[in-house]
Amino acid sequence: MWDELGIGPCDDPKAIRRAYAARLKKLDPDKDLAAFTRLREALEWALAETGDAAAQPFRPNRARPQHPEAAQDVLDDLGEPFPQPARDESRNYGLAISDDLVVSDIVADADSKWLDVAASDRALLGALESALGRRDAAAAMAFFYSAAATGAVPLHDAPALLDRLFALAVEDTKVERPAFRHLARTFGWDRAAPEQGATPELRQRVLARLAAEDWYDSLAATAAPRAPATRKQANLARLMLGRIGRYRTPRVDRVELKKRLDEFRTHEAWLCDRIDPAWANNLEKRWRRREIVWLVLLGLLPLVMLLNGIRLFVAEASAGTLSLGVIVAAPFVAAVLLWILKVLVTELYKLAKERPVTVTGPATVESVSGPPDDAEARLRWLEQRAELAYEAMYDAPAGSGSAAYYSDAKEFLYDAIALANRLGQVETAERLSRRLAHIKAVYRSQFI
Amino acid sequence: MIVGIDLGTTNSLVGVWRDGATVLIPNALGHTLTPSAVGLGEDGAILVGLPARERLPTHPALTAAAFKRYMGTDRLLFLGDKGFRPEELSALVLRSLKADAEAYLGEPIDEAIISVPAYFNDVQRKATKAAGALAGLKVNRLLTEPTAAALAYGLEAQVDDELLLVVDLGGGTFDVSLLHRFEGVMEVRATAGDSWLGGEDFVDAVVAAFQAGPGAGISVAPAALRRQVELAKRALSTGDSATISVVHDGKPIEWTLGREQFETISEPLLVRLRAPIERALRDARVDPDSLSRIILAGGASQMPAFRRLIARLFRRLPVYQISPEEVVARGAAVRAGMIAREVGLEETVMTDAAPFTLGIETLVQHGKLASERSHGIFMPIIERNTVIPASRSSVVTTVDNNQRAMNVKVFQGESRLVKDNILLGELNLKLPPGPAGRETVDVRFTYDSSGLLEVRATTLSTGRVETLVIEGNPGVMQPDEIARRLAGLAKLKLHPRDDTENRALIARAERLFEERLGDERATVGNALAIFIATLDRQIPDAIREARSGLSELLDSMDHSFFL
Repeated sequence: MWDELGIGPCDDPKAIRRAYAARLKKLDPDKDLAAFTRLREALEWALAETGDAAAQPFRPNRARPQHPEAAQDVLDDLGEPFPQPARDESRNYGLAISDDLVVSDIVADADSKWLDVAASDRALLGALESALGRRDAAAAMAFFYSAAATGAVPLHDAPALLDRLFALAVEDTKVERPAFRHLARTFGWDRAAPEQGATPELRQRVLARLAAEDWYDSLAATAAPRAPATRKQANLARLMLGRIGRYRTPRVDRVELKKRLDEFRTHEAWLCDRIDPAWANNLEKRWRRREIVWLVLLGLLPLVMLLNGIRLFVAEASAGTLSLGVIVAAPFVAAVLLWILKVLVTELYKLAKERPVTVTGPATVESVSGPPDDAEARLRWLEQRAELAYEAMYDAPAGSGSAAYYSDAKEFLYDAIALANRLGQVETAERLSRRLAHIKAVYRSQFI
Repeated sequence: MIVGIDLGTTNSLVGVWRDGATVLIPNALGHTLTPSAVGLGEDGAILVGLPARERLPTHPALTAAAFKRYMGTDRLLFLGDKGFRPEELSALVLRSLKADAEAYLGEPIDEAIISVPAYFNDVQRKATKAAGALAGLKVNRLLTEPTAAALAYGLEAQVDDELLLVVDLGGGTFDVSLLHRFEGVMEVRATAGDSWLGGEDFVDAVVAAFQAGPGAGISVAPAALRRQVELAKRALSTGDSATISVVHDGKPIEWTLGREQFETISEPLLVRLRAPIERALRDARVDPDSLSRIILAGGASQMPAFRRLIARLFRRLPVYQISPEEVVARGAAVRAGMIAREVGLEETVMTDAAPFTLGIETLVQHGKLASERSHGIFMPIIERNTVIPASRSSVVTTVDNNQRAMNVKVFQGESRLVKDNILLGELNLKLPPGPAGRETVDVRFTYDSSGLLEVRATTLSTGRVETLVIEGNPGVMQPDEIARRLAGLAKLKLHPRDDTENRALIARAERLFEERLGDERATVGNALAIFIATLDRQIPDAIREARSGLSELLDSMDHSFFL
C-alpha cells in the first residue's frame, strides 16, 4: 500500500496527502480508473493507519451541556416574562422576534457584534428552555423553529436541543400529527440515521411514532367516503376505527381483519388515544369466534367423510364384498382425512388458548426478576428499577459502565411514563418526566 | 476553445479562462447575466434572455422561465401552443450564450463545461448533458456548482491546506459542499443539499402571504405579481422595507413589506437550510471550528437573513468577495482552463464526490422457506460521498431453483427499502438454469467524474455482459429522440443577435405600459409607437437615435428595472 503512494510508512497525514497529490497529478482518473481506484484506496488505508479524523468512524460532537439554571439566570437578568409563541392560524408555528442588532450588510459592519449571542437570542433560548422545562411541546417547537431559522442555536448546540425537543414531542400526543411530521422531516429525523449514535433509542421511538401516524392516516384515508378503495376495504377500515359495527360485524375479510389487528398491536402505544385498545380486543374476540366457526365448518366435511367411509368399509367387510383395491386404499384415505382433522383441531386449540396480548409499551424491558402483572405495582416497580440504575450509575466505572446504567435508568423511566399515561395518572407521568430530564442532565454534564 | 457555463435557474453566465484570469462574457446587451428565460415573439421567432424575461408579465403564455426546476422530468412547457421539454429551453439559452461567446472571442465554440447543482441526480445530470448536445456543444464535463465556487476562490488562496465549506443558495436549489484543498488538489469531501429550495421559493412564500393577506380575493396576473415580489426581495437586501404594487381592475394595490415581516415569512424555508449543512459536516467528519473559510454562492445568498443565519451558525463571517452571482461561472471558466491545460493552471487537480448512495434492489432470504424472504431491500454499491470517479462491484446470486432471469433494478437514495428511493433504471439478465445460489452475477457500478452512472452486470458462468440502458424513465431522452429534437430546434426561427437590444427595449416598454396608469402610460405608449415606426423604416442611424431616446425615457420612469 505504501508503494502505491510512493512513500515509506509514515504517520503524518500531511505527508501522506502530499504523496497522494503528487501521484494524482500524474494520472487522469477518467482515463485510468483502475489506477485511480488503487491510489485512492491506498490513501484511505494510509490515513486510517495514522488515525486521521477523516478516516475514523464518526463520533458526534459532544454538545456543550445545556443548563436550565443558566437559562434562568439570563431570564432573571432580562427581568421580563417569557415571550409566548404567536398563535398564528395560517401557520402552526412561528414567532416574530424583534432584533435591533440586525445589520443590513455584514461586511460593512466591521465589529460584527451581532455574531455574539444577542439579547433577543438569549431571550429566545431562555424561552425555549422554559418551554422544555414545563414540558410544553408545542411552545418548545415554535421557539426551536425560530431559533433555528435565525441561527440563535449554533451548530454545536443543535443536536442536544433537538434530542430534548424530540424526547418531549414524541411522548406528547397533543402535538398535532402534521406538526410532528413536519418537525421530523425538517430536521432529518424521519429517516434512520445509524451514524447518529448518541440517541438511537429516541430515534427509534420517533420513527415508531411516525410509522404509527402513517398507518393511522392510511387507515383514515381508506375509511373516508369516496376513497379509492373497495367497499370491503373501506368497511374494514371503518370497523377498525370503530365507526361502524358496534353491534353487528360487517362483511369483512377475516385474514385482512387479523392483519390490520396485528398491525394495530405494533402501533398501539401511539394510537390508544384514537383507537380504544378495548375495541381492538373486542374485534379480536369477534375475529376469533368467526375463525372457530369457520374451522369447525371446515372440519365437518372430512369428519363426515371419515365416518361414512368407516361405516361403508365395515358394511362391505361384513358382507364379504371387499375388493383388494379398497383394502389397500382405505388406510391411506383415512390417514389423509385424519391428518386434515388433526391440523384443524390444533388450529382450534391454538385459537382457544391464545389470549389478547397487552402491549406493555413501545420500549421493551429486559429484567432479572420480571415485572409484576398488576399495572399499579408495575409502575412502582419500573420507577424503583430506574432509581436503582441511576444510583448504580455513580458507582459504576467511568465510560461504558455508567453509560449502560444510564441507558437502563432511561429505559425504565420511558416505560414508566408510557404506563402512567396509559393509566391516566398525569401527575405521575409529569413527575417521572422531570426525573428523566434531571437524570439526563446529570449524565450529560458529569459523565461525558 | 472551451468555455465554462453556469446554467442557472434565474440567470445564466458564460466565462472563459484568458491570460491567466477568468473573463465573463457579455451578451448582446452588454450584460454578463443572461436571464434564463425563453419567449416566443408575435412573429413566431424565439427570444432568449432579457427580452423574454421582460415579456414574462405581459405575455405569460408565450414565455417560459425557471425551467431548470423541471430538468429531468418529461413535463412540457408551452410557448403558445408549442410544447418544449426543459432540455430544449435550456438548449436555447445555451445556444444564445454560445453565440455571445463566439461573437466576443471571434472563434467557434464547440466544447463547454456546464455547472449543475451538486444535488442534481443522475437523471437531471443526463438532461443537462442532453441540453448541451441540443445546443451543439460537446459537454466536456459537468461540474458541480459548489465545486466551481471553491475553484474560483482556490485561485486566490493564501494557505495551502484548507477546508472550505461552500453554501450555495441559487434560484432553485440549495447545495452544501465541503472541500479540502491541499497540495494543488481540490477534493470534495462531502456534498448535501435540497434540490427544491432556492430563491424562487422565497418569492413563492411572499406571493402566498400576499394572496392570504392584502391580496385576498383578487386575481392578479401571477407573473406580474412574482416580478413585483422579486423586486421587493431584492430591495430588502439593502433597505428596511419595500412596496409591492400591482394593478387590479384599474386600481393600484400597494402592500408595504418590512424586512422583519419578510424574515418571518421566510422562516420555514430558512429552517430547512440547517439539515444539509449538518449532514455535510457529519459525512466528512469535520468539526465546524476546523473550517478555514465559509464561501457564499448563488444569487439568493445575498439575502441578509441568509447571511446572518450562516454567520451565526458558524459563529463567524462567511466570505463573498467574488460576487455570489458570478462565482460559479468564474469557477467553471477555471475548470475549462484546467481541461484545456492552460499555463498557470496546470497545478490543480480535482476530485468530486458522489452526492447520493447508489445501489440495487435485493431480496434477503433468512430461512429455507419461500415465505422467509424480505423483498425490496436496498443494497448500496457506491455509498454517498465516495470520491469519484469510482468503480465498485457487488456479487449477487439467484434465489430460486432453475431461475432463468434476473432483474437488476438500480436505485438512488439513502433509505433501507427501495420503495423510498428513486428508481434509475433496470437491467434484465438471462441466466442458464441451475439450483438456487449457483449462478452468480457481478454488478459493477462505474461513476464518472461528471457524476454519470454506468452499470454493467456480468454473469460469471457464461461471461455474458449487459450494460444498463436506462429505460422507462420519462426524464431521460434517448439518443434518437435527441437527434429528432435537434432537427426540430434547427427549424425554429431565432431572432438575430443584433436585434436583441431593440426587442428587449420593446418588451420593457410593454411591461411598463401594463404596470403604469394615466399619463405615464400614455407617454410610454406614444414613445413605443414612434420607436416601432422608426424600426420599420430600417435606417440604422435613425434607429440608433430612437433607441437611445426611448431607453433614456424608460430609465427615467422605471425604477424597477433589474438584471
